[in-house]
Amino acid sequence: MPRMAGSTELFLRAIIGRAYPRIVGANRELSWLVTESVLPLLGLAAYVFIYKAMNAPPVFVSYVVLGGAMTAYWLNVLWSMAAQWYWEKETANLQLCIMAPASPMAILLGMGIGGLFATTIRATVVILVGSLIFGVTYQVSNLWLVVLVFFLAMVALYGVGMMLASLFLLSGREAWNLSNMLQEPVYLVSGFYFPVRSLGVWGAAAASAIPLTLGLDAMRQLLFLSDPTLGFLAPWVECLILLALCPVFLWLAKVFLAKMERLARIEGRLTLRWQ
Amino acid sequence: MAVEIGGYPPIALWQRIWLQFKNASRLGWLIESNWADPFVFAIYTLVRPLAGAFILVFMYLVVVQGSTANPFFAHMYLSNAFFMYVGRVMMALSYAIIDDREHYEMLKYIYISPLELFVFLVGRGMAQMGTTTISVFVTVLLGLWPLGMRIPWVDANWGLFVLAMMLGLVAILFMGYLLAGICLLLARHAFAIAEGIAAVLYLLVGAVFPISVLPVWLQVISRAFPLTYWLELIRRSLLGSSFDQTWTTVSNLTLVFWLAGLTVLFGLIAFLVFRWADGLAKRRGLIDQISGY
Repeated sequence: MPRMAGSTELFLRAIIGRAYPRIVGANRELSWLVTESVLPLLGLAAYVFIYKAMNAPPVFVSYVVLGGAMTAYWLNVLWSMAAQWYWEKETANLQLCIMAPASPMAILLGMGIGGLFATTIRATVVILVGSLIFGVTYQVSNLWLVVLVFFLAMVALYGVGMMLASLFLLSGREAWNLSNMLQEPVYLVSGFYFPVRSLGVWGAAAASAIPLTLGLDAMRQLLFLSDPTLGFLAPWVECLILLALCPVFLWLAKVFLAKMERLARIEGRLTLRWQ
Repeated sequence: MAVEIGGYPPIALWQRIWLQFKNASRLGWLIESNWADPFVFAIYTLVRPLAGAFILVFMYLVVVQGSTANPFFAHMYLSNAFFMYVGRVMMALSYAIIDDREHYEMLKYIYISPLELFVFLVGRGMAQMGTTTISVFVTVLLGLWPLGMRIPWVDANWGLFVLAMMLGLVAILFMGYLLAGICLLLARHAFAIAEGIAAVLYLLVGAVFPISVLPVWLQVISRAFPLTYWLELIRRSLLGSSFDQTWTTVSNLTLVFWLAGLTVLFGLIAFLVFRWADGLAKRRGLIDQISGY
């Protein structure tokens, strides 16, 4: 009789099992690599030329290149994590995921880890090519803090992704359209293409609930030599806030997932297609 | 010309086309809107384009640190607002193929019904064109107040504006039809193709900055798109001037000539590409493919 896996082992195996197609499968489809690297590059190029047309200081071009690369993570969270369960529902796979003995949290974590890896490849391409084309210069003041901020921002961000994914257990097109609607507003409030400080202190403080806002602002301050007044808070303060946000979002994701799964079972929404 | 189908009474060709167009438009509207109540749908229609416009506003304010009464702001803001038609209408036409084939699994039935695919797709695009018109209107309104953009309404050349809009929208429909043809050959993951092409055009056609800022070789490519002339005519007709020195010596009539000529050319290309893609898709058995990713 085969040995039964323990719950921790099952959790880890589910993570690896779901991360695998994201790491290997996503890189097999070369057209994705092109669309996910070239298209953000074109998008950020438009914003670079706007700054050039306004004779803005070169540091704004650097801000756009970094912000443009980070859009890949937000898009990955929205479309390949949150909306993934919509696709799974449409292809009748969602019920299999729910029937499996693995925790949905583990499946989503696997998606997150795999997606983070694949997206990092795309974001790196965008940063390298963008920096080369537009002549971005870096002045790194604290590399370890950059790495830590990035890591914390990603943990918190993928926590948000898991929360959003829980909505798709219940909804179909409503949630898909919600994802569609959230794309640009988050670019705006997180300051992907301009310093978030421009939103004003209260605006930037409210926008800090989205992990990428603080992560991006801290990384810009640490990577580029710019006017200190362009930053929102000191990078180490932003790092501490992100550290506090990580467990909050992961806990909220766990609560949301449990509640939405129960509701979806009661209302019979897990197998509902063509909503 | 009257057409008799089976035992049904003959109807004129234009009536048949009108029926197809009307029903496709209604279908497009229902697919676009019936997932939400009108209030939620109104928010959905406005939030994304307004956020895109406000990104530009903050970029402008952080650099210029001054008044939005500067003509550069009006030119940038206005052409960005009208550019919304490009992505959304092209998306509506091209995504209709993916949506009907992979999601609703209806494309094969559309193929075997007695309708013109071009008329059907244009009809599907009409709902998006309608909602985009509302988005453009609200965006322009917010530009006027509270943002303080100035449009000299009395001096505006409305005749030129209407002509430019008609030609520009036809050009966008042709580009959407071309993409729809390409989508016949692609798998589900091509759903973002219209957004991708719109991003390329956003960069190339001078939607938010003068094309004179672009490298020379990109300026040459930019002049090959009807949308470059369309946006320049929109800016000229409403604002009375151009923010692009490339066009200062070019008359309105020349711009209209180029817009009309390139629209016809893109129409021809769109029909040829669609016909080719349609034939290939039929030979490869792709009309009812469910790619699953």
